[in-house]
Amino acid sequence: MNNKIKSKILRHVAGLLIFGSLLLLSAFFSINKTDVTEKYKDVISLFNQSGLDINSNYDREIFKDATTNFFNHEKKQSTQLINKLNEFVDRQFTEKELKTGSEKEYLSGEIVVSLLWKFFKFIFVFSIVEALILFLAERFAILKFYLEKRNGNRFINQIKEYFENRKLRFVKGKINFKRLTYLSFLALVKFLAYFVFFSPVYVIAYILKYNSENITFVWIILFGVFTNGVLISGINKFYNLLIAESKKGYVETARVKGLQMFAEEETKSFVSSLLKIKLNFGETILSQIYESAHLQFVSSFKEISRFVITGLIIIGMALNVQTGLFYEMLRSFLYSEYDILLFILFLIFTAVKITDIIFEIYSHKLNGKYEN
Amino acid sequence: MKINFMEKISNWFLQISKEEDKLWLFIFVSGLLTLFIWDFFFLNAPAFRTLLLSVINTYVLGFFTVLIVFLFAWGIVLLKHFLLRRGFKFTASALDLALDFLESIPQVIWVLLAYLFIIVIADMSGFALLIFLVFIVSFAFLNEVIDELEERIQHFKNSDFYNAMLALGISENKIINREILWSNSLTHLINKGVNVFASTIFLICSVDFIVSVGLTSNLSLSALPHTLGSLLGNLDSKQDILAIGTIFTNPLYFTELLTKHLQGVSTAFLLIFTLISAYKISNGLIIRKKLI
Repeated sequence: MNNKIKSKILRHVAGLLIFGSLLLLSAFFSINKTDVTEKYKDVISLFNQSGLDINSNYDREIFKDATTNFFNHEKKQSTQLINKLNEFVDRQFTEKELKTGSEKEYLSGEIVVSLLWKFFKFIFVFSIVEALILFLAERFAILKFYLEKRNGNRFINQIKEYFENRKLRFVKGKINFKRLTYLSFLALVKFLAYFVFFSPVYVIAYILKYNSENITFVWIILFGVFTNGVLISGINKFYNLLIAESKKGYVETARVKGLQMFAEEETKSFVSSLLKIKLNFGETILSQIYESAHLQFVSSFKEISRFVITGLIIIGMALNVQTGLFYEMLRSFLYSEYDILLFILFLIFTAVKITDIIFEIYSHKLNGKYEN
Repeated sequence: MKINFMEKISNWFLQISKEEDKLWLFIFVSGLLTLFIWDFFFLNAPAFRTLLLSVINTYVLGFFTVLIVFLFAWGIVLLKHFLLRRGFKFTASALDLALDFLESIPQVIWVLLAYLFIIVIADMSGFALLIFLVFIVSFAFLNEVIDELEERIQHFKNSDFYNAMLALGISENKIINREILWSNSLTHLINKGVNVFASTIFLICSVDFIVSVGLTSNLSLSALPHTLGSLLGNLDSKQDILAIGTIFTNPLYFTELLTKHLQGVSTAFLLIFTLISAYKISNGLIIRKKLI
């Protein structure tokens, strides 16, 4: 490994150590095992001693009257007690441990193990989604590049043709509705495809009437790849890299030397060549363009990785995937369990950093391979 | 007469269809207007008002996030430049490390943290809440914008342009701010701004939706500004979105969607339509201004 890659990895490791330990320490320091009812001990004991029921509206009003009369000259004390009672009643409605009587969860060994298990499940899904996006984004972008180089932007051209060409537009002085309907249909299909790709996952999931209890890994992976605009961002990024590469000087030189952009084959066989795991375009300019674009795509894939994680977090939280890590994150927000929340943040941060390191090493290896 | 009018329209359409960004800006504005006119007639008045308010709030949040993130990024780029010029390499590296940390937190976490701070720190409302939200959300895109600004500066530094300007006695600050960023990078920055705007809208709406499914019991939805996300999280809207699925079994139900389930359908449409339009405008800008 050369110094450049070493320093890059060192930076990621330093970041992981410094900020990772900060997150981890904050998680352990915010562990709170105290009983939340401790704060209201005096109010609860007064209720118990007087035989009143804290859950009864009537008894609470009696308590308030009695307190006000008892502390007649010390208004501050009675207000304090009444406020505490009101706060306790409010929290009974909103907080888990007061509402159900169950204990508040904190970052115990058992919870850590359970979170780690959920984290590994997340890593499994995340890896598959990343691999699929890398696979599909490149192939869709190459297909778009191929079709546009071969035929131009067919849809836009057809629209232009419609408006430019008088014969197409007008049949015997009337508007050619048949052609217009066909183009409108094409526009609608394209628009609907964009709609799915750009849809936030919760819109698609609600349309498909999903059930949060039966949601499987396959659905999470499909949602992770095809919704939230993740795949379209990948396609767009790779397509722009292909275009940028195709404008470079070496492409012109290769053309002059008689190299073709694509191998002389039909669209059908070109599409089937895209389905292979390892892309090979033979002795064509596309082969060179693809290699350079692929290297740049892998080097900058960390941006898409963040977006993939964002998408998976949204899926986990918005769809209430109860077996997942992000449902735990949602719960820790809901019940103010900040120790658990910080620990989950630490796990996510670790995942991001490890992904960065893996992609740095992979792009370094690719770079070495192409340089040779 | 009829044909003349049609020809005029087609000539005009032909003119703007050559420039995808302008075409999509036109589609976006006319799409919004058509939807609002339709909703004005078919959606009940209170829901229509809420929808309008949600759209305005969402776009305002997006716009201010773009503004704040560009200001922050610009300040940081200048600071880094200053530190490196003065030989404070260690401080510059520390700044880089801190920025790297910010980047390593997935974007949606920043928005979630913003809501958490709102709950824990203060009972904010109205304008203060909006500014605070924008301030935290801007961290999610800070590195992206810094990278864009630095890439532009580096691009010109590698050419003769930069040295020639220096030789003419123009100060480095003026070269970076006026000549590079303002005069020669505005289109790149507008393009980045459009992307940040769309991503902000997506994130804020998603978190608002998550809040609606019960992010926290301490945070009342009424305390937050209405956005497309919170409107989509509304029970009525969820029912409307569920109803869209019915058209798979009963395609004729489509007409009912456009009259009886307008709140949810309009909200989802507006959210996705905004994202698609931003993507198309950004792509069109790249092609028209030859940014790649």
